Amino acid sequence: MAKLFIFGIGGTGVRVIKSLVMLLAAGVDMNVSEVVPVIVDPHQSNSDLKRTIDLLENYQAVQNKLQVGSSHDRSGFFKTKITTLQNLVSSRDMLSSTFSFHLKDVQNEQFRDYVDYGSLDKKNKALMSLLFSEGNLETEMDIGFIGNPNIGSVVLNQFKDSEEFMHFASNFQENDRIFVISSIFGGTGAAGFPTILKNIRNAQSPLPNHEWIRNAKVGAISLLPYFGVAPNPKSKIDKATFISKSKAALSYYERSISGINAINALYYLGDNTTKDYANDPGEGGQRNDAHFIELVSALSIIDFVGMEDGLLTTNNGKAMQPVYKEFGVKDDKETIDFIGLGDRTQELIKKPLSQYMLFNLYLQQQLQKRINKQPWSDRKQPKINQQFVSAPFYQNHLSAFNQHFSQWLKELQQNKRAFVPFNMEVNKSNLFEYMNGIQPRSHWNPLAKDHFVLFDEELNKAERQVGSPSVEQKFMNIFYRATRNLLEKKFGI
Amino acid sequence: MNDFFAPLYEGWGLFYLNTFSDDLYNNQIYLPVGWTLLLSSLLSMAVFYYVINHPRFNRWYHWLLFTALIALINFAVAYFTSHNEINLLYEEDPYNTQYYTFGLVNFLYTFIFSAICSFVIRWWSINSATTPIPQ
Repeated sequence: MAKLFIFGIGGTGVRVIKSLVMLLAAGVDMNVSEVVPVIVDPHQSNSDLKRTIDLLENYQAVQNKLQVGSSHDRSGFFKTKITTLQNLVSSRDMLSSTFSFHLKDVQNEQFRDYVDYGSLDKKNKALMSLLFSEGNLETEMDIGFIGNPNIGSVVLNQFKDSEEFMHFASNFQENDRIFVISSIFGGTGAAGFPTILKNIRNAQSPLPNHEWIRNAKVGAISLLPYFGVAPNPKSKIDKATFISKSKAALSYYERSISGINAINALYYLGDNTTKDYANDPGEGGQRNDAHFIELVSALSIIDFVGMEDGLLTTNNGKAMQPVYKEFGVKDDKETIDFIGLGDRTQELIKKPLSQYMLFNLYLQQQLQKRINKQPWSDRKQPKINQQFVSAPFYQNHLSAFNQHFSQWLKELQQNKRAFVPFNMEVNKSNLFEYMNGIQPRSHWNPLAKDHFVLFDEELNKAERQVGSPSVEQKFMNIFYRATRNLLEKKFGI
Repeated sequence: MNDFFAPLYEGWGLFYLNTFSDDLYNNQIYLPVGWTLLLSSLLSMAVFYYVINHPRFNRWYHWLLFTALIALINFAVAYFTSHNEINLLYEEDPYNTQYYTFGLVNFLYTFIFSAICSFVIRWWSINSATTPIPQ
């Protein structure tokens, strides 16, 4: 199977990747052998970026322990491999070991210094004045391009000469796919998307595999405004400009992207039900809550990799049958649960997310109480015991990942429009009321096993079905099987 | 089977109670008590592992409690069976504490047989496969 390279540009790109990672952890099917996220964000101290990188690293650490052995012993959770460009490079020489692409000459530097404004002659300075305001020239770029795509389009041009792009090219295979995530109403994403696409479609010698890259199957999502920012006269960001910026960018895309069939599949997404975030251009760390639109954006990636090769034919850098897609929900409500999603979306995410949520609830509320007290824990080797729970796999990676997962759900829930698929306050007496809007099957027998008791029984059954894999595989596999069976029993899904 | 149960109940001499043990042997009282012991241990363990078979009733102390209940029943079976049968032999009952001793031996053997039954049948129990202790 082919690889999928994902370029996540700017804060939105980072947050969409986060949503995608959550879906992959839950076991949403992705028709690729591995996913290679490349984050392009000059704002390296961005909290969202740090959170996403931490999440990706924890995902990798968990997944690395699960990919060995037979497919029978593999868990459905974390089944898709996520890797860094560095992991693909056999030499492991120069690249740093993160998912983030490092922009050069942007740290502690104004745009004026980047273009070496001082050494320009009078005519070039006049040209610069035409294209860039004084404010543009004084922009400190280590917090991003702050809604200025004209700056971004200059700085991000270094991408094609970067070491990362060379490594991407040398690892690109004929059937690999590329997906670009960006927002259209800011600076970094709006500039980065056309720049990256241009470098892909104009790939030429001496770039390795330039033919394959030029004719790659490329998808992208361009996010229209889906959040606002609180008014702040001191800030350079004004939400009143979001629409006009989007229009300007769309007009440019019409000419330079869709107009020339540069892309195989382009997804547009936005929302007019929005929440105003704190107006923080970046100095405060830029920490935005997860948003339903970002989750839907992640679904566009899954939709893209599910498309038949024949629909994504590219010839000489031109998509032969470009497609443009949008997304809708059943009801225009401010709060959405699974039932509010379209049937196909429900089919795609309801079961995996619900399985993972159950898994997470058990770990939070029961695991410590049940270790060494249930057959699934200690019936046979390898035993899932206190030592396992104290080891780095569980303690440092899986638990850390699950904290991100809970936080992500919480943020989705408190955002606007809110996505509230789960009641996160359930306990041992009402566990199966955890899916909002979906009632569990009732039973007449007062002695029937239910809630965490039934969960333990399903774990005990699942434990008998797995072979003798590593303890990490056994742990993940039995929880995957048990949660799958519980959903079937209690909800018929 | 009387010859099978006799050495067990007499503990190869350890629990031998002279004429009382002889009377139990000669009147084949070991047989009903022994069979009750074996069958009740097997049946109760089958109930524990396959009928109750509960994730919240599978700790060692649950097993101990459940087995103690069966052991008490077997104590009573040994006590009353021997008492009733021997009373038919003598006009005046010559024994006193021997009935308790015999009951206690049966009580003890209930634990032993139940433990043996547990280790034989527990493998196929979904929720109690590691009760009373993991392998």
